[in-house]
Amino acid sequence: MKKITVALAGNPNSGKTTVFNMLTGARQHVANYPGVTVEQKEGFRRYDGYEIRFIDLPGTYSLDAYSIEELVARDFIIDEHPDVVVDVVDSSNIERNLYLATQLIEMDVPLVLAFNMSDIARLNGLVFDIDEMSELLEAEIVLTVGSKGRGGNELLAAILRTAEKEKTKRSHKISYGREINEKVAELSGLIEQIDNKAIEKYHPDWLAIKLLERDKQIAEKIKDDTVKQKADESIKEIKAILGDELEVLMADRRYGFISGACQETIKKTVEFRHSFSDTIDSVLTNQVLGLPIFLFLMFVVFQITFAIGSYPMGWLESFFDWLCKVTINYWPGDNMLWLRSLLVEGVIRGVGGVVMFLPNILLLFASIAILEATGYMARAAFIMDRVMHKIGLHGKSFIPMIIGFGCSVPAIMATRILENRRNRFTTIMVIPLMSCGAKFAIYALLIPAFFPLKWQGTMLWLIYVVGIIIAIICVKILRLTVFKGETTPFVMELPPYRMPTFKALGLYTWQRGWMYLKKAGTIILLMSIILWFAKTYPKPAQESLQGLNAQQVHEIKLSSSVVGRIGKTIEPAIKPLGFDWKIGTALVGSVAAKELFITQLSIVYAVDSDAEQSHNLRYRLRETYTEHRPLMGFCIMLFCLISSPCVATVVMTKQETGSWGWAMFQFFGLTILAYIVTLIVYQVGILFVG
Amino acid sequence: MEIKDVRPLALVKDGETVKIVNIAAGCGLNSRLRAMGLWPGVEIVVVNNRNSGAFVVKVKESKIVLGRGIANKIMVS
Repeated sequence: MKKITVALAGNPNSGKTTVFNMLTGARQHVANYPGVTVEQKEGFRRYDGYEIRFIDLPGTYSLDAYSIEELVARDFIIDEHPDVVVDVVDSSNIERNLYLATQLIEMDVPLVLAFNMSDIARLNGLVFDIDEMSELLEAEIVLTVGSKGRGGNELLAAILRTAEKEKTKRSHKISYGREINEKVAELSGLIEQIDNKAIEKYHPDWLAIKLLERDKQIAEKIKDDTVKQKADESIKEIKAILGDELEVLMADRRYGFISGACQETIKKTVEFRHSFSDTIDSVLTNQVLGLPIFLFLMFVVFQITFAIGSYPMGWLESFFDWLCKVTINYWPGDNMLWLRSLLVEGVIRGVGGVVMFLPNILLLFASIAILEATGYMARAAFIMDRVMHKIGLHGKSFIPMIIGFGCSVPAIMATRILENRRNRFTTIMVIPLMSCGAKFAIYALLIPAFFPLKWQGTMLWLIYVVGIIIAIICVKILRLTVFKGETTPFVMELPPYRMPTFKALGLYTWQRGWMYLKKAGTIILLMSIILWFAKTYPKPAQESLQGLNAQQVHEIKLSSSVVGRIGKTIEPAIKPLGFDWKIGTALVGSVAAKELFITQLSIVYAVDSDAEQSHNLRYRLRETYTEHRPLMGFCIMLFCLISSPCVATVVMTKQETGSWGWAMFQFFGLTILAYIVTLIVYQVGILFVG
Repeated sequence: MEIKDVRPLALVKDGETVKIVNIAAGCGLNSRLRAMGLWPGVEIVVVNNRNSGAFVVKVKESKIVLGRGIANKIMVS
């Protein structure tokens, strides 16, 4: 079986991911590009005697290396030499999408064009002369509809034909006009003579073009000064002759080439109408209605996550209760009771307490995926730009923040779409204030325990909104102090509205859910076991327990353990917040991973290996905290919301900002803030509730 | 093309169709705008210039949001 590698390139929103899903099915996995944290999706497919490895490159508008994504895509094509590059083109927006194709043609890679969303193009009245266009672009063209799985086999066949074909030099590449063409040829010849090393990897013509376009990255790779000098001279000469910047002229030629090719090969059968997307936009991005609609949609998302999610959550909860009872009832006699306790209280309760929230997490990620895939997310960024601008960020910062509702780690990665360092760092610092899936699990546990039923949905919404408001205030302060300075220009595409496919949503949700489960099975399992030991040892002297009831015994045992001691030590500090030492121990545990707050509470509150008395955790919380219950519940949630981000977030912040300093600034800054805010809320609140 | 008609994009009202004359942005931003289809010579339609925040234009089939800052740097006629 022959093996080949195929890279998928394409504009953002060209449906590249749906084509990738169509080609590879569920045989894919997500990894990071070595050295950077841009996600790399890889998938496999067997077809016609070939094992094809597909790489989904990040979506880019060009290969100019302006953003990290562009650089990663370009480096992959240059360094890994894929056998074929498939450029996924949104055929309903053909001219802009072909700009990337012209750059791939310049790189002289074996190219196949997937004219995706061809159904929409047809609806818009576009008819393509594929043969003619294929000849002009010197690449095979296949019409596809990724979302409906159409054109997959044709695309695979075209890929194999292109891979098998003897590589020939393209004949009539894009012409930049006589003057520029001459300069390119001169420079290319010079490079070929002098720099043997560079042309092993790069096509000399392409190197010449990039040097003339003043591409910094390529200029660094060319060691020879004569070449650089020649390039500088050429740029000056062209400016003198043609009176314009060279890169402007070249872009002009590329678009000229595209529009020429399109005029010859595309027929428009219907005149352009006011599109469906425009109609929706006139409502959703309306000056008056936009913001309320956005807030309402967020409210709906959280209601759904909570209301629908509560059923499967209940089943999982009963399942773990049942598992505990079974383990205890069928334990062989009185042998190794400590192991039984470890299994029941450490492993089952600890991990179960986290796994229980999987349905909610899946619903939340599915909701985020829907917002993203329909194109609404970009509108949300646009709507929020007005607000964001006032605090010194732009609307684009809002996208990583929304992802932060799922998990801070990918959200911090997503800040790479922000080109400006100040904007980016400010956004990273406040991302933990967007309540992530793990914090959601904490709310899902606490809200029913501390609030009456009719308040529950509203409380959940409120805590999210509080997070957003605090984030806004923090940004404002950061932008006036640490990250002072100009904002960068804001450019973003509003993609047309689209129906997401179930397959894409399912895959996305599953991949995120699986990450959550993996975390539960590894770090949380390990931490649960460690926490169990910390709460069990050292044991108190046997004689001190005589004549006490079960509850009192449990209390004494706990307070003599490592966990109890830590909790007691910090109790004076957290007492003004309304927290007792048991909550304190849970907060300490949650530094490793936010979910461990629940795990720790479950462990602390479980009465020592006694099935009859091991009530569920919510019941125990309600039983314990009778005074000012709603205020206490709110303060615990508030502290969890603001305080120290989890270890994974700290590590990611370090990686993305390049320094431990910023990571520590975030960690301690937020924890101190959490303390102050909760202190104020509790102390003021207590005045009102008595 | 008369010189006196040239004005910054930010001053163009909703629904007007204009032609880009010049973009006075840095090299990096320039290349990004080019790749998104905004470069001297193309016609764009202003879709949304109502609020004080970002600005929406339509170029060919795509809608692009531009910040106020950029809208001031793009000269149109």
